[in-house]
Amino acid sequence: MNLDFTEEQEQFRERVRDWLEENKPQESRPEDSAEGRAFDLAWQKTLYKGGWAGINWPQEYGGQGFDTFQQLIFLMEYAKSRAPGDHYRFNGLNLAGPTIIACGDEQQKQTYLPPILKGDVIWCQGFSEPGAGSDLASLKTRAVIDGDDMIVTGSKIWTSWARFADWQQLLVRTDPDAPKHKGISWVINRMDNPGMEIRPIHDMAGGTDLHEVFYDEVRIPVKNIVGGINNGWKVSMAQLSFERGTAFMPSQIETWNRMEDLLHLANQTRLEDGRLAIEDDHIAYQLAKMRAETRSLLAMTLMGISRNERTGMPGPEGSMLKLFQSELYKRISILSLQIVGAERSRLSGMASEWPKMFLGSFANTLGGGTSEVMRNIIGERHLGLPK
Amino acid sequence: MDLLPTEEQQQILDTASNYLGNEFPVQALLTTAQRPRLNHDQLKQLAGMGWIGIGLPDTLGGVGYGLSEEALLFAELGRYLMPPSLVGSVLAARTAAVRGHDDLAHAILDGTLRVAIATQQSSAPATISPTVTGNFLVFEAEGADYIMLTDDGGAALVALSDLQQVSQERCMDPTLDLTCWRGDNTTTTCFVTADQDAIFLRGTVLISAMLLGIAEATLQRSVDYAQAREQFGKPIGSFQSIKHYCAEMSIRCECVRAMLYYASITLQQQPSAGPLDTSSLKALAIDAAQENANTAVQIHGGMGYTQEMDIHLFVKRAQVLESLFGSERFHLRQVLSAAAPP
Repeated sequence: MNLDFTEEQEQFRERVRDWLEENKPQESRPEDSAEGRAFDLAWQKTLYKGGWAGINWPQEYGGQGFDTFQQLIFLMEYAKSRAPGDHYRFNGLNLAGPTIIACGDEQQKQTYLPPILKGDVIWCQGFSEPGAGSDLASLKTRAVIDGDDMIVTGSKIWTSWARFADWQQLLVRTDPDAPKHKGISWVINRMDNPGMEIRPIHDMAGGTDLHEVFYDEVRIPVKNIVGGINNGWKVSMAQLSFERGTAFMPSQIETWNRMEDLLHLANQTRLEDGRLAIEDDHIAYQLAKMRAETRSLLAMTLMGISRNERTGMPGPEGSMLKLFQSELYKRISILSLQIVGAERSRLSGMASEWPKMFLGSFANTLGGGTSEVMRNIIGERHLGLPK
Repeated sequence: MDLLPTEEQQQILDTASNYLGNEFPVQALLTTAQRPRLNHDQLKQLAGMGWIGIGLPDTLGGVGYGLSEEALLFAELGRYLMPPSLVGSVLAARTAAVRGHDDLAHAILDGTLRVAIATQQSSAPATISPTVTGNFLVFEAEGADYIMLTDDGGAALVALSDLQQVSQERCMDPTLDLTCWRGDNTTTTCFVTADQDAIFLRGTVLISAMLLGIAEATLQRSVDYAQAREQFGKPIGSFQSIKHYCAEMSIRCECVRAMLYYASITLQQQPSAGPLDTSSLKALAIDAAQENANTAVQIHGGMGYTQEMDIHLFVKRAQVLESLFGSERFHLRQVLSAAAPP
């Protein structure tokens, strides 16, 4: 049980810190989606040139092949420096790329991996459907083999940044007669493929990065199936084998930063009765409780990483951290509204980051598995309770 | 960086867990006398295994491990509802040793002298300094020689015979003896300020470890029961209402165990982060133990409300432990005022 880093690791930390200080973008990320895409790709190019692209990717595929502790250090320093988040780069770097590394054939690897690291392309995901949300494996989008192609018909929903993406990781049903987990394939689709229609969805926070995507007899080459036909469910789990528990480091630090900002705000903001927000018992109690929980989020993240390092397997901490962090983040944002008071209604003022955070926070307890699904997973897989 | 117990630490934990499971099963409290949980011979036996001095440096007569090993041990002691006066013994030995009372420290370390533990009555705050004044609620004074009195300013070891007993009380926790005692400018045997040694914070970590033991024990009992108990033709654990209770209970355990490991290191190594981490730990541990124990009653249904099962003992112990080394409110105040760590 120790929190020590070696001298070498501390030198590595210095190197990361210095490089970020010199190279991170000075301007903040544009809110406009098209400009956001350009910003994200430019930053990825800078990371690539600096030798920091794909920190968890093996070196043979152009990544850095950092060990767990180097990843941990890099991500800690990265979040502390408040360098831009993954945004549109997220899917390629963390989901599609790792899946292709784990399950793709040599040609797929050569074709699709380098452009992700070099900052040439954006990836998106086509998993959920209007009729297949928490019950993802019941998805119905059909792919019928026709010579060298598949003909795909159906629809996908919640596809983030679809209209700004180049490629898509898509789950389709290739065998309608097999049990639901066994007739699915994981395929690579080009977003400019004929027969597709993309409809932006306006989310409650005002964003338009979510989409519904319709497929009307869209042709996708059979060679774009990754990991074998009807093997898609297993393939979509494969990116987990990349997971070292370090993935939670950025959101953990982001939550801590927000918490400390809110504490600072509570020390400066006056309530209707003239007292400082921090002097209100109800607010103080909740602030303290959430600060303690945020502190433990760090400890939980480090314990998860340690467990992963020992066993080489992602453990229950993945679902636990996801649930704990997203619910905590939401509660912090709700508390912030009590502190900013009537300012809560203004999405344009100085304190608008808080109502914006509140509106956006609902996404975290829904996307990537709802909190209820997380509780089922913890109950069934970790505690062994019956289905 | 590795936050998990080393092989050696795991061995300490396993040995303790096996020993306690054989010698002090909680189940026995349902059929035999509930008090004392630990008689004189049994205390000597635990002391003989080095449990009182496990975290004390060998230069001071201890076993030479640190706070992390102590915390691992006390989580197991909490799981088996062992008395919190053991925290008193550990801190008393440390206080005496730090002050150079070697003979006294030795007699506490080998279990010859028994130490009780106390909390202040919230209605009448006491003074703890080189002399002590005020009323104290004392756990396990029966047969004790000394009493450990602490607050965030310092720690005092006082001979019980130097205090006056005010009353014999009935404890909510039937496994503990509760009395009220009074000091009136009473001279302490030894006193250590918080600056000299973080006795109060160390005690806070150990009580938090005991609370973790309760949170984990009640989770385990709930999961076992939810798998075995059937209603509507199915195990009740298949119902999401019960399953989700259990999932929340397990997250509380994970959260407190991680924070326990983390704080047991920072308190020793990073004095600036120590108070934030220790107070965060105690606040979270109280919440986890109480919520888990209370939820366990609900999961066990009507039987959970009876004394035919052991769940009520955990509910009661979780309340007693909040009263020692700072309540949730106290620690949340500390969390709020602590400086941000580097």
